[in-house]
Amino acid sequence: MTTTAPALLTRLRGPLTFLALIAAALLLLPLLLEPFRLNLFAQYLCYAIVALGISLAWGRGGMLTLGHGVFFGLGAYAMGMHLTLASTAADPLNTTGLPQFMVWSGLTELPWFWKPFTHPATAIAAAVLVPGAAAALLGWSVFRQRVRGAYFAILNQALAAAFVIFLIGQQHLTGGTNGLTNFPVFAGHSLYSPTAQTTLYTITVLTLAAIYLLFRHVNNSRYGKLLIAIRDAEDRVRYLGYNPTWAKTLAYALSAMAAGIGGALFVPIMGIISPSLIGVIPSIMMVLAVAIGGRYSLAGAATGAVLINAAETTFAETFASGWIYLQGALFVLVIALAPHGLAGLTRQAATALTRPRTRTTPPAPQDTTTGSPA
Amino acid sequence: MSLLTIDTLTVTFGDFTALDHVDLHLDEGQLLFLIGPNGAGKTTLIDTITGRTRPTHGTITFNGHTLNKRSEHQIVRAGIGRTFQTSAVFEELTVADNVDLAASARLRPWQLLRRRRTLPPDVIRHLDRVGLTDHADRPAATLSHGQRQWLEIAMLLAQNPRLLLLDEPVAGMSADERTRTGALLTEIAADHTIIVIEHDMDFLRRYADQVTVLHEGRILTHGDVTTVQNDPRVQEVYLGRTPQKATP
Amino acid sequence: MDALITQLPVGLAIGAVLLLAALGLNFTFGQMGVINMAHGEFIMIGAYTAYVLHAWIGVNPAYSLIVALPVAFAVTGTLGWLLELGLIRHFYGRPLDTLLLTFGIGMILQQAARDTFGAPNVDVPAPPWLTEGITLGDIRIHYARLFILTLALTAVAAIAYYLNRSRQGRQMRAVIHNRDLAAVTGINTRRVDATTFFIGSGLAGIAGVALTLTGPTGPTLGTNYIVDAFLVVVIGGLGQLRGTVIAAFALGMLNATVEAWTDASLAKLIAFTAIVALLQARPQGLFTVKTRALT
Repeated sequence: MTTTAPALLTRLRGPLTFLALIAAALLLLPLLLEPFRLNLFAQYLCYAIVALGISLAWGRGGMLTLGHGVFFGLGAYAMGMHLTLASTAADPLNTTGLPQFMVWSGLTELPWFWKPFTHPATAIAAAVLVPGAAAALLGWSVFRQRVRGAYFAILNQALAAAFVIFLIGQQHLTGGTNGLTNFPVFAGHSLYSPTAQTTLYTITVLTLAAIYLLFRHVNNSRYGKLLIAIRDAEDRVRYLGYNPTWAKTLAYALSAMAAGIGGALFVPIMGIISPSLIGVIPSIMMVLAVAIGGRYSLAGAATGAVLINAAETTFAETFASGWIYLQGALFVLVIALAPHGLAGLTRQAATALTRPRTRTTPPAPQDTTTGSPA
Repeated sequence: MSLLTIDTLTVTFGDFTALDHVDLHLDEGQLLFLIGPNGAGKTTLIDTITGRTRPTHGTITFNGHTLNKRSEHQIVRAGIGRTFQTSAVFEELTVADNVDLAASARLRPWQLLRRRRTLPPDVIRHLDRVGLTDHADRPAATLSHGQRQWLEIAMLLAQNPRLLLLDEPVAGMSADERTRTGALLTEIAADHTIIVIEHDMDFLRRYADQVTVLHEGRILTHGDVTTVQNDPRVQEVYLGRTPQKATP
Repeated sequence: MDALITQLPVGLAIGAVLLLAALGLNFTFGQMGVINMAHGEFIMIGAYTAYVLHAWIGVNPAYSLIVALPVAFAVTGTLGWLLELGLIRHFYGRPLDTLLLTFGIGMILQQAARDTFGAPNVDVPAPPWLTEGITLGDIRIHYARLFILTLALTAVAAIAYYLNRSRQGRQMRAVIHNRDLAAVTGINTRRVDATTFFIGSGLAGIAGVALTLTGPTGPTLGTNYIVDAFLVVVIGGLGQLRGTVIAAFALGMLNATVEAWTDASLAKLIAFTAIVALLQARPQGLFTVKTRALT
């Protein structure tokens, strides 16, 4: 097959845009943004990683996950526990070897499930695997019983509510409402130095890019098409010989792992993880971001997360009340008028620009006798 | 040998008995037409064979295995494929992807995760067989009603089943489309075992050999088309009214 | 076993509150498949209605509660009717989208309450005749709890009567079973939908008034109950009044006993696990409605 130059250019346009974006994010932004802004942007990127996961589960697989804050939180707490332990060990004034909040709660020994998190490798592995395993377990047990749609969404939300109440209630184990914070040290280095923050930012950009590529591959594979089929007609898929349970469980687990990774990166960047960041409302905000960006498009979902979180920082403090009205209105407007989100609007605009004369009419009706069997 | 054996199969929904002690034997290579008035239990029978409905009583044996407790996808994997009365294709996927998905059900999960670069030859062959090659890259949503039924048949063939269950494959088709579907059916029947549910008597006369008549959940009679057509009981319950032309 | 007995009044009271919150959902979600996430905010508005009657209009506390019940029913019922008319009816058949839409509405309502009444909680004093209680052996029963229980059971009885005996209720059930068939037999399905929403949302108002007896009223009042109320409808089964009643009290008792046995923060996780476990045993009876259509 010979490839003409314009055709080659069209084929390369996607990858080139992608590489240009990464290069700009890695080389340009650290120079342009002051450290405080760069840190904020890195936080948004963490939410963008979560958004990729939600797009896979919801946009592709039709599983509305109203509890992704739980998986974000599991990843975040795994990292937070390690950072807490590392900082406690590095603190010359702390003679107990226990995190401050445990000392205040009267604990004398480190709880058993905290012990593995002394090692950074265990913590990182747990940040990915624990959310994945939790989602796989929950997903498998409900999907195999054909619980789906709104029921699944509500179960997710109930899980988010229960998880937050657990975190707040078990203060001596989890830090309670305050969560985990005050950890200046990671692997012997200060976390607050500009170098550390730039490094974290670079890692976040690369992780986002890697997960984007992975999920794009998943979407383009047969499995990605199977997910569309399951989303649109789950029962029909069974009569092709597929068991939708494992397919959905895998997508849900992958999605949760992305959220866990986002959470694990978020903690050292933000410097805190607390129940208020992962409950029912934050979880649904993660979904709002994906809806605004475009649930069917990975790039759209990620962009939506960056935009909505940037808007949150800009407006939340100055017009707290107005911002909430705006968020509520955005929910209504996007779902009602633009179910494909910004990604859909961009595509429509691009089509309108490149072909200004063709009206956007549905494809001409097919001649019913064109196809002939035999 | 008997490929499918249905033994005293009974299905009840609450007080309503949809199937009442149905016995049915099907040999390898047979083409069986299943007819009966609306509500006779035809679709329930196919639903029960394919695991969509559970038997209240009785057994279904396919190729030496009892199907009663298996789930839908396990039954498909055992070698039974079906189409639906109202065509159910995946509208957002392309025609080729619909067939490819049907052909890939036996792949291992990690094989599904690989990117497909070219269409497998089998998929191309099945598309060609039902005459949808020209439409391969269009979304299935753009197909006409008749084309969707053919796509379903291509998907069914791609599953490579030992027994095919077709639920009213020519319902709603034009005369021209019926003829083509009939020719396709004859061709497939040469190397497959098939049960066809059909209302259309013209179609039946032209393509059927063996016919089983269901009425009120029971098997009324069974035999070749002429015998069945001349059976007074059949005429009474089914053909007795105006001779049926094509269903609207 | 002791815990079970001493926690019985608490469990029944929690169950009654859940039941009141879930009854309205049973109408809109159970009967119509519409998930109204603003239902929690309707509960909150019901509670604030009682507050407004007491604190702004100055109705005598001795009977303001009794006045508040029908007023709250009318207020939230009207809100629900407007919501159905303006928004939800355009999204039938798209439950997930409706869920997100109504969540947006809920956010707006919650913030409106915050801007109107302030973020801190307010108190609605209970009528003097409900502040006392009686003691039976080891068990202390507050009249307020008894009142909520009576209110919940009365509401159940009224709904059962409405659905089974009244003409409108039977039309509603006909629409649930087969919308198209109901339409061709001359039932005005639009009006039935609107009525369903009015009653379902009105019940949220009643639940809100009842909640003022159990604690302070704040803008997030509804959010605290809505997740559990949805669970009740999920466990109880689609449109099953009996299921809803059983599930509400079961969840209430589970919460109360687990709380007494370990502590409150574990209760929710244990309840959640119990629900997922329950799904393993009885998914069909609780969830699926048999249809011939392949979806």
